[in-house]
Amino acid sequence: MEWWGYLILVLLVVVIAVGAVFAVQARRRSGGVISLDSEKKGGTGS
Amino acid sequence: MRAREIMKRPVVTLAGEDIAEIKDIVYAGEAGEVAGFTLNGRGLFAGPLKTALPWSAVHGLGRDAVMVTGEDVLEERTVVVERSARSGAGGDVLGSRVLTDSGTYLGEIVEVILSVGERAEVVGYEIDSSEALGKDGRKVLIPLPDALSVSGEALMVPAAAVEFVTDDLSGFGAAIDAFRARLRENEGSASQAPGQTA
Repeated sequence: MEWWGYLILVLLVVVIAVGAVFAVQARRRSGGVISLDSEKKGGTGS
Repeated sequence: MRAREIMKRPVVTLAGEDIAEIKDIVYAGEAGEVAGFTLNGRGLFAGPLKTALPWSAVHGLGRDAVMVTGEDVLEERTVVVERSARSGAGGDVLGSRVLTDSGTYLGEIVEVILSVGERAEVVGYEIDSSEALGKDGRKVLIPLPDALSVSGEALMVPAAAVEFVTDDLSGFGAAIDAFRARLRENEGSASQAPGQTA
């Protein structure tokens, strides 16, 4: 493989990793309306 | 007021310090009373905080921020939750299904409507209506009784609620009052009925 092939591969991995971090962070920060005593899963958003 | 209007609002002290951001709105399942808010830290990479803001500590709920007297009013999240929960369990009602007590599926909750005053209370749901409501799948507002039924993943409302469904928030307060008055009338006539037959 040419050197630029490795470069593209590394850049691709970095982009996917950054995207995954942002997606997880957005999920952790998303809000809801929590009904206590409801049995539906979802907890209190920890 | 729609619940989503409060989410992501900054929590600011009277000294002007921006200490957190509203994450979840937590309410007691049966009473419908808002117990408080869970919080996110400020900044893109800050996650959920271990502290929560009890409703009693809210100094003012403004259009752009939730005001508190100081950072010391925040409490441990588990303390705020356990104060109002009987079972300690909790779940997000957004996306839950709404059924009448006669077994008709009315739709899926997309928004929760709050009445905010001295205390904050859940008074209705905005739902993606089912065919049973005959609203062509539009979003509609459905009023709730004083005491809510919370069971499993479906939320139960009295069948009479269907008659008080509205399309917009402006007339919703009157619909809630009329619906609750109807329920009280029905309860009154139901309690008189055994006496008449005896």
